[in-house]
Parts: sequence; C-alpha cells; structure tokens
Amino acid sequence: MSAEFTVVGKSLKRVDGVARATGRITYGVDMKLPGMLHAKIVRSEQPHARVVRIDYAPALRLPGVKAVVTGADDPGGLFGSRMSDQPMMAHEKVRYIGEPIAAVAAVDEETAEEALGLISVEYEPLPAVFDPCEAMQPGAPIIHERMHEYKYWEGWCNPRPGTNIINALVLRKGDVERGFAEAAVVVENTYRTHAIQHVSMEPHACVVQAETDGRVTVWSCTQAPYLLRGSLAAALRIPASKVRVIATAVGGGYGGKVRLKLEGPAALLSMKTGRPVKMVYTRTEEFIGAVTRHPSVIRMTTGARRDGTLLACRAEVILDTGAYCEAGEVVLWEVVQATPGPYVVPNVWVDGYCVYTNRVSAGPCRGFGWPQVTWASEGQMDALARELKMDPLEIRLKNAFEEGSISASGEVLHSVGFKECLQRVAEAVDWHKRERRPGRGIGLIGFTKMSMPQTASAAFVKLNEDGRIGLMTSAVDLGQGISTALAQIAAEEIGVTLEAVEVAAADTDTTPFDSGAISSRQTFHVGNAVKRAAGDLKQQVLAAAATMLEARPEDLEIRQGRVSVRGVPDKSVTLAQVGTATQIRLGQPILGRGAHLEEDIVMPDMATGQSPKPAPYWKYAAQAVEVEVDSETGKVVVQKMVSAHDCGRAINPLSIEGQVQGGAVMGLGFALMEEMIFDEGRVVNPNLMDYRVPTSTDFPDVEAVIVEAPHRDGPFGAKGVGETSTIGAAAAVRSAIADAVGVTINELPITCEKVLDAIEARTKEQKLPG
Amino acid sequence: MRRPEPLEIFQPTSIREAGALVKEKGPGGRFLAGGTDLVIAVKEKSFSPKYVVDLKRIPGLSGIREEADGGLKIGSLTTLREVEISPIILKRFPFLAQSAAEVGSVQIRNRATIGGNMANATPSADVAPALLALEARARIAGLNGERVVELEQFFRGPGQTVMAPEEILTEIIIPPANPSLVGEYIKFSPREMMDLAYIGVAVAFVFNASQKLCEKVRIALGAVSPTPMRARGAESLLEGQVLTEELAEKAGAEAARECKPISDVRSSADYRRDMVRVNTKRALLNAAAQRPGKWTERRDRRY
Ligand SMILES: Cc1cc2nc3c(=O)[nH]c(=O)nc-3n(C[C@H](O)[C@H](O)[C@H](O)COP(=O)(O)OP(=O)(O)OC[C@H]3O[C@@H](n4cnc5c(N)ncnc54)[C@H](O)[C@@H]3O)c2cc1C
Repeated sequence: MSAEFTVVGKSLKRVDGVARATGRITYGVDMKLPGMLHAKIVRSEQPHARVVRIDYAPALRLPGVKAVVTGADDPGGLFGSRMSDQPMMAHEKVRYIGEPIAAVAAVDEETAEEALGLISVEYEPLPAVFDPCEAMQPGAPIIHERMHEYKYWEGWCNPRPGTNIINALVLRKGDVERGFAEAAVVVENTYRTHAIQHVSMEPHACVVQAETDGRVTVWSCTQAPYLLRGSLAAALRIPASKVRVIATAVGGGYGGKVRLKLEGPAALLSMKTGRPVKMVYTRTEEFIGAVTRHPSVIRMTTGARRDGTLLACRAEVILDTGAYCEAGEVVLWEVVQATPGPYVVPNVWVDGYCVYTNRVSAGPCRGFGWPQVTWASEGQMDALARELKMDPLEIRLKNAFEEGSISASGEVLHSVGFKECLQRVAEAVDWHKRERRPGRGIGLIGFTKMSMPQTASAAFVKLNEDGRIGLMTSAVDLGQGISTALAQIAAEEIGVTLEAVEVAAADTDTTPFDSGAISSRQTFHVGNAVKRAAGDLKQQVLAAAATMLEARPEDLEIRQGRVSVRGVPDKSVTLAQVGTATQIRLGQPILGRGAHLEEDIVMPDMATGQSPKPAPYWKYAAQAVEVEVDSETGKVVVQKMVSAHDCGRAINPLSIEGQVQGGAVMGLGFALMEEMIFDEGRVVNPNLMDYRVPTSTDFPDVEAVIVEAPHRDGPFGAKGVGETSTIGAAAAVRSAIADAVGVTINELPITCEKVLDAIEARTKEQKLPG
Repeated sequence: MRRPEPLEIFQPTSIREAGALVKEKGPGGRFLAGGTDLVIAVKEKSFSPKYVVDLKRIPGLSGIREEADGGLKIGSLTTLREVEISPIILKRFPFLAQSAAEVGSVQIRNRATIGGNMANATPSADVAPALLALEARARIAGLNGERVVELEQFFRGPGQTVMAPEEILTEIIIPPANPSLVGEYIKFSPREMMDLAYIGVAVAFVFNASQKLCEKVRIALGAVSPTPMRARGAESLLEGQVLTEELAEKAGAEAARECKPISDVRSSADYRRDMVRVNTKRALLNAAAQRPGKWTERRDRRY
C-alpha cells in the first residue's frame, strides 16, 4: 500500500465495531416507541386468484385489536425499481402464495397473531404458472393484465404487454453465425439456477408513525432509505418529502432489504390508528413474503478456434422474477451487458427475458444476476477447455479482458485487474504444480460484475465547534463497514485522524440523497461524494484559517487536525479554533458539499445493446476451490477456497477481507446447500431446519486476495467488492467436482444426490461396450 | 410469535407424585425434560398440551452409573452433553458418545436429555440407533411400579412409544458387554452440524481382531422407517463370519433392502437406501479398524 496515505488503505478498526460486538447498537427489531402497536399480515394462500371477499369483522371484535387494513385502504400507487408494478397490498387479485391481503394492528404481537386466524378470505382461483419457460409460451395465464399501464424508466425496460415478459433485452455484436462457422469447436449447454433466500440474521423490521401533520416517519432496517422513501410516497400517493425515513442499524441485507415491504401495511395501520405501528417478519415470512434470488434458465452456445480464441457466443437468458419485478428488470438489464463473461468475444448475440411467474418475487440478492450468468459462462469456458484439451486457466487468460479491451457492448474497458486475479488464485492453489489425487479436484474460474448506472450520491461534511468532523450521508452500514470506509476517506482528504470523524445515521430529513447500499456502489459513489464534500470543507477551512493567520490559503496545510503555514509549524490554529470562530463568532458555519455524478454514462441502444459506457465501473474477480468428492455418497467437502478481487483500491483491507470471506461462504451455500423448494408456488421448506445455510463448521477459512487496478473515477481509485465476493463460488465448485470425478453438473444446487447420480450414470456409460 | 395457551406447569418431586398428577389431570398433558423438542412443538408447531409436568425436580433421574456386572445405567434426565463427554462412556462405548455428539449444537446438547431423545420417538433420533445396537432397555415407572422393556419394543411409530401417559422413562439400561465389543455410529447429513440425519447407522459387534471374526453383530438404522430399527438380515449375514470388505458390502446391501425409507423434502427414498448401504459398510469397517481417532477428529470440528 502506498505510503502517500495516512488513513486510507489501512486496516483500521470499525467505527461501530464495539457497539455491534457488544449488542448495544439499535437494530430495526429493537425499535420501541411509546404507545406502539404491533402488526401482522394476512397472506394469500393461493398462487393466483381473485379475492372475492375479505371478512375481518370477527378480528375487530377481538379485545386488543385496534385496526385492520386491506387493499381497500391502500391509495393504490404502484412502486418498483425501474418498473413500477407492485401494490403494497393485493387489489382484486393475488399473484403469489404469501402476498399481503390484509394487516392487523393490536396491542401486542400475540393478539395480532391471534386476529389473523379470525380473518377469512374467499378466493376465486385462477390458472397459475410456475415455470418461467412455460410462462413465456403463448396461452400461458397472464399474471399482469395491466402491464401496458405500468410506468417505467426509458432505456431500462422493454415490456411485452399481453404476455408475462416484463422485460426483453438484447445485446448484438458482430455476426455470430460467421463466428460459429469459423470455430473449430462449438459447445452448447443449458444451465439452471435455483431460488435462495438472503437469510439476514435480522429479519425485515420497521416502526411507522403517521404524524398529525400528514407526514409519515419510518424507522426501518432498510438498505436504501431514499429508495424506501420514494416507493412509500409513490404507493401512498403523497410527495416524497412527506415521508421521513430514519435508518436503524441493519443486521444484514444482501439486497433483500432494498425495497418497500412491511413499511407499507404498517404505514396504513398507523394512519388508521394514529399510533406508531411496529412490524417484524418471522423467519417463515422472510421465505414466503420477502424476495429471493432469481431462478434462471440460460442456454448458451460458444465457439472457439483450435487455439482457444473465442469467436462467438449466443445466449438466451431467462430470469424468473416471480409475481413482481422487485428489480428483476434491472437484474436482466445488467447481465445482458456481459453474459459471455469477462472475455473478448468478437461476435455476440444475447436475448434476455425477465418473466413473471406465480411465486414469491425474486429481487436483488448479492450478485444481482451475475451468479446466474457466471454459472453459465464459466461452464462454457470449462466445456471449451475440455473439448480443446486446454488448461482451464490457459483458455481464460488467453481471452481475458485487460486494460483497453473492447467489451461486447463496445466499451473500451478501464481498471481491469482480471488477469492478475486469475494469476493470483492460480498461485495460491499452486495450479501448475498441483498433484493429482483420486477424488480431489481444483476448480478455477473468473467473472465480472458491473455497478449499475443512473444512481446518485451526495454528502455533507461539517466542521464542529470542537474541531471534529461530522459526516452526513445516506449510506447504510449493513455490517460491511461502509461507515468506516467513508470516515477514512473524509479523514484522509481533510487531514485529520479517523477518530476525529463522527458518522451520522441516514435520515432523509437531514442527510442528503443516496441510492443506497446496492450494486456494490457505496464506496465508489458515496466515497466520491464524501471526498468532494471533504475537499470543499477543506477549502473553506483554509480560507477561514488564512484570515485568522494572516496568510494565504494556498500556503496552508492541515495535519493531524491543525492548520499551519507550510514550513512554519508554530504559525497555526487548531480546527477547534477554526470551528469555533466560523460558527460562533463569524456566523459562517462550514459545511462541505459534494456529489458523485455519472457524466459519461450512455444508456445502451435498445435495438443492439451497444454503449461506449454502460456502467460506472466493472469489478473483476477469480476464485479457486479445492474439493474432495466422496464417490460413494456424492458428498462434496470443500478443502480450500481462494478468492481474488480487483477492488480498484482497498480503502480498508480488513473490511474487504471480511466481505470476501463472507461472500465466498454464501456462494458455497448457494452451490451446495441452500435451496428454496417450491410445490405449486408454495415454499415447502420456509425454516432454517429444512433450508440449510452453512454453519461455521462446514467450510474452510477463505483466503482473500486483494488486487488493485485503480479506477480513474473512484475515490483514491476504489471500486466495490460486496457482491463480487459471492458470485463465482458455485461455478468454481462445479469445476472442482469435474476435475475430481469427471462429472459436470449444470443444474444448481449441487446436492449429494445429484453428484452421486451423475457419477453412477458415468460409470454405467463407461461400462457400455463400445 | 403465537400466544401460547395459558399453561399449567407442575413441578413434582417424586415419580409417584408425577404419575398421580397425570392420572388426576387426565389425558393431554406432557412431561418436560430439556424441552428442546417440547417447547419448539408448542411455540412453532401449534402443539398445545393441556398441562406440563416438569421432571427436573425429581431427584435421582440423572447420572451415569457403571454396574458391578459391567452394565451401565444412564438416568433419563442425563443431558446429551454429559453422555458425550462421560469418561465411562468414552472408554466403554465411544460410538454412543459420538451419537450424542451428533445432536444439534453444544447449546442444544446442554439441555437435551437422553430420555427426551427416546421418549420423543423421532425416527431420526440420533442416540437411538447406538442404543439399539447395544440392546439397551428402558426402565419405565408407572403408578403400579416399574417395568423394563427392550428399547426395540419401546418405539411404536413416529412420536409414539409403549408408555402410558402417566408413565415416566426413568433410565436406560445397557447390558454388560464383552470387552472386545467394537462399534460405530455414522450420521449422514449434508451439513456438518445442526442438521437432521438423512440416515443414521450404528453397528456393534464382538470382534476377534486377529481372526477378524464377528459375533453378536447388531446393526441399527435411523430415519429410514417409522421407528429406529434393527437390520436383522444384515446382522445374520455377518454372524460368526470373517469380516471382509466384500462381506461388509453385502451386509450394507442387505440393510438397504430391509429398511423402509420415505421420500421427503430432505432426500429421496432411493438415495436414503443407497446411503444405508454405503454407510453400513463403512460403519462395519470403521468399527473393525477400531479407529477411535476418526471420531475424535470429526468431533473436534464441532467446537
Ligand atoms: C436446534 C435443534 C437441533 C436438534 N438437533 C437434533 C439432532 O441433530 N438429532 C436429534 O436426534 N435430535 C435433535 N434435536 C431434538 C432434541 O434436541 C432431542 O430429541 C432431545 O434429546 C430431546 O430431549 P429433551 O430433554 O429436550 O426433551 P423434551 O423436549 O423435554 O421432551 C420431548 C418429549 O419426550 C417426553 N419426555 C421427555 N422426557 C421424558 C421422560 N423421562 N419420560 C417420559 N416422557 C418424557 C416429553 O413429554 C416430550 O413429549 C434438535 C432440537 C433442536 C431444537
């Protein structure tokens, strides 16, 4: 790490570390207000049905019940990410088992729960569809009849009203047919991925208070306070600034807490009762009424020359978004940009579809579609390597993006540490000298992810009268350490220590706009805003100090909280003196302002997907996994995992290592253990006994490797890493299993049973004569 | 959380008093030991017992005793953690300690009792196969005195035992064993801990290591039939035979034929059968190889 920095680049302790570790931080589930009611949701029992009648009179007669709301109380505004398709509560019809139909507020949680049993719903079932491929067929039951009325952002969505396809996007480059004709080998495979849940330790939780002046105050463990504010205001049909969102500490989010959920029904109940209303999801509700990762079906055909040079890739990407988009339209938009992976491919043809089905909605889930397309693209790279009898690392290095490579959308790529990632993981597993042992194998794969465009961040940085710095942004710390990283950036820019910075919690009444803890964007976007705001503050401080010291601002410097004339250290004032003077005596309080702008983004052409700059930046990574496969049981034991990430510049290496390790284990869970199992749209394992998340004993320690290819637009060169950390694990495990026992599984998750079946099928094949 | 029905809880101090309470209050009550099955059934599965009789104030129901004849008595309220770390059990029947160590987590095992694991009668109860392989018996106290039943007769179906509502399981009796007894318990599940068994296999036999001769072979299976079961066909294949890999394989295949697994959200019946085959073979070979090191290694990962 460069010596030029004093705060940035250091593994400093978390600013909120002690509060979190001692349990004294206030999470959403901890919130309490005087006179608070507790609410519960009545959820649909039908995957697709008209709601004929809701009878809640008996519930209202239960002592302690204060109010019931239904779709009839909902002002009816629809909300969404780039596509607004969702109501807070079902109107007329339900589209998945678990959809909110009514909500009850009562004096305590138990009474509210009891009241649920007193509310009866009469349905008129409609034909339902659960498979995305079937849902795309003509004649499939239509889940959103009014798709033609839905509002969406230009450049992001291409809905097909009258079908279940809510977004259909393409990427076209060159001539794929010619590419395949020239290819020495062409491989074609179908890949499937499954639904998983985020399983944040803290479930969704909020308290909502409808104020007497018509405003609505929301305390929520949201990942994105301003997005929540916008969605709730749209749903309630009131101006955004009538809603105030105060972010509590968040006990994990992973994309699951980005959008409006329980805050909607809680707001309606608070408006009806005039009392604060608290709602917390049960673990079961997390499974049936929050969001999942998008299941996908990806067909991919890839051709290469005999020497491994990629020539063409054709792909059809189908994402099952469930009943509502929940950002599925954006997930599709992102992955269509680089479906073939981080490789130079001259001829590309991608058709992407985001499709409704009658099951709980899929939404953002750490990786945002990239675990799915990586599952396919890396499967293709392995298949090509096998066909060409090439080393899997070799074929990747041969085609890997590097600085200046041209992407499939026509972008000249910058800040590409991909080859170094591949090489570093190869070194860590001793790839070239690895010994062959029966039942043991190593998989090594690479991948990329963009950070989505058209998001924004702003920051305020203030100088207090005691000389300390107040940092105000709407960034959300989910446990990933963003508060610390932002404080480091501010401290570095101003010239104070980390301890001199106080980080305020997001509050939409006081902290400035931000698109939230999504898309691994906060370090880059908010970091930039903070850096600019801190620079602005610094200029103001220097100007004020110049007057006080009778010097010129350009002769001054700030070090360790003291402003002095360069070369004349005793001619100085402290920041406390500057803060006191400006705020109290001069009446010119110092507030630095900054924002991050994406001036050079060009939204891709809808007909071709071409764009010279579709994303603020791309992250690159490589992962290697070593497994041992028990060929009699199919059980896969992960022996080693190495994960290398190009994060531009590591603002806090310790935090990045934590992210990389946590993400890797989450990815291994996706690969080998976690699976939401559905029966006709009903989740049959909505609990942590039957839905298995990894425990601390299941996987080995993960070796994190930090690669730095600084980005010209990033704060000190930094990019993000939060989501990338989890993306490739499944693909790496598959490669390792293939290396160990020669079977390839293209349908996730990789259960023991599937591995064993594949091994047995292969043994039978080999025994066949000829 | 669902509001639990108002619940009467009694804390008798003798077995007689406990039985009498149940007699008086009538059907629909439940005894409470560690509560790791019962409390969850009440809170999460809408089970509403009419009343609860806590057994923990009754003296003498917990502890592990070595008998003069070489047998072992384990009080029903002995926690699974105590079974797991008991020096006597580790020395005499390490695979029984191992089966206890397979349950949940340390926190669960500090509460869960061996009596509760039996009385709850889940087909996948981890300690049951090891106890069946040791031909353990259950001592049951009722209002009219005690009776002792073979553990194999104790289970009647999922959640069902031979006990009448007022009867209490007081201890598990392990008969004297030959010093050359070897054994093994394998829990097969995808997750390393906090998982229910896809299948469980326990084996125990008297092994003449120099001649590789097996006698008194007992094989018991969990999670593959309505109750934990003995695999008698597989046992008889091995009885008096020299243990070879081939024979172990055959015995595994026989055990797979004998069991009656179901398909559910965790696993298909076919896969369970296959896992019985493989793991019965492995349990036999591991036991014969007397590799206590193997289970120590597994156990260490759990802390
Ligand atoms: C998170 C978790 C993980 C678990 N993992 C496993 C696992 O891996 N393997 C496994 O086998 N089990 C597992 N269990 C289940 C449970 O811990 C065990 O079955 C335990 O041994 C039950 O004992 P207890 O003392 O807690 O029983 P309790 O819950 O107190 O009682 C269970 C039942 O037995 C009856 N009962 C108890 N003692 C007596 C007695 N002496 N006489 C008559 N009736 C009696 C009760 O009335 C009740 O019906 C798990 C449980 C949890 C919560």
